[in-house]
Amino acid sequence: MDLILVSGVAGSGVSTVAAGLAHGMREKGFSTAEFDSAVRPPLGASSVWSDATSTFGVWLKTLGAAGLAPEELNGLPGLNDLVMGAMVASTLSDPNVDAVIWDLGSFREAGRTLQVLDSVPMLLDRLLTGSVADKLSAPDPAASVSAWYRLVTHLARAREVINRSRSVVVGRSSDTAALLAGMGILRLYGSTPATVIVNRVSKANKTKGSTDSDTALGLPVFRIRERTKADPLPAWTASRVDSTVDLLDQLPPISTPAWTIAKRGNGFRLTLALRPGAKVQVGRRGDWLLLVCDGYARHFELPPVLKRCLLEGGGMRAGDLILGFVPNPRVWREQP
Amino acid sequence: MSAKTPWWFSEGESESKGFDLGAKGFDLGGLASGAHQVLEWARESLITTHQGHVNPVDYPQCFMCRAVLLLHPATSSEVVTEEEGFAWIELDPPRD
Repeated sequence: MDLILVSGVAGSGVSTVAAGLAHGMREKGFSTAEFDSAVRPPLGASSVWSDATSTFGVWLKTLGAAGLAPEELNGLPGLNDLVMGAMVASTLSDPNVDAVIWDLGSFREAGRTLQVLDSVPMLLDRLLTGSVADKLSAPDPAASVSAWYRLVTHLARAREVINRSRSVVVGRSSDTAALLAGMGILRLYGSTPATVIVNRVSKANKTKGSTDSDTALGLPVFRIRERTKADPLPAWTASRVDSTVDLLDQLPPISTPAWTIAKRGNGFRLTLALRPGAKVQVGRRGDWLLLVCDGYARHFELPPVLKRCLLEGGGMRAGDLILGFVPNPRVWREQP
Repeated sequence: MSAKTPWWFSEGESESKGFDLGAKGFDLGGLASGAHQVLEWARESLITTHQGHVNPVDYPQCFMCRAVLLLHPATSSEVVTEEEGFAWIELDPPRD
């Protein structure tokens, strides 16, 4: 099952569902690790931290600042997201772990975490390979560059596992528009929404989680009735997400990227699924695209064939971003 | 913006996921091997020697320093790495 991101509409019970999913998976015998973005990870115990201090310690000394203790940086915006992302990636590489559930909180919080994990490795990589790195005066330049490289690798790995993840989105009955918008954010960063959990459905509707085909959302929908005060958590929720766990277990692993390339005459068409009505901007720097969807940005490395092409144009069609590329005659003499 | 449907919205031909469609079937092994040897030679004889040259003006015998001076004015006090430009792409209006 690998990595399952859980996010949803604020206040709809995202953390309860995430805890219930983890509980339900353990009940079915899956070794399941659980991460919650709202819980601050222990910085000092993380290998990301030691590499970060090795890297930035040099910069801090250059600036004349004294070394910092891990606790002094607690609460620094984005640091929590980076450390947690690296810990998730590290946990996934453990052969004894069947699945990792990552509670990303509300869609807004999820977008912020995913954006940080997307942009920081890119920024660090540019600094490492840029002209600033040449001017770095370090007592042991090789060790600094090595720590820097390890840091970029940790974070790039987190970005990769997100690219192969599935997501479970949570909302209430009236949240269809917000759920669609949230799924667009998750898709932007490469996570594939697998199912929708409509939480806190009144007793008058449905009492037990059951599958529905919801044409608006385009995914299997499971409904959980509103809990009474007598119902214990998270075991109660776990029993309601039984069908969700079965569905996630039956889905094949994600081995191919979420985008497609199609040949069109002399050119190529790149298609990325986002959401209908998304406000999208696209920019290019060399081999990378900057995709901005509803205010969230993702750096997208072009597939090899498109690196040698010019981006001629594109646009949104029915929730898909479609971009047209033609071979760049300067670097591709032969016609494809 | 033209009302005509651009080619990237047209249908037809095959789709693929993650394949390099530009890859050709013919063997480039021999050519690649030769190119690799040339690159190795260039790396050894040009780049490795050049790595210690801080100011290209001081090393007129170095091929790489001469190339750098050709690309940048001799009056420049330091070598500036050229940035790859960033450009926004103009997108078509959304279609259903």
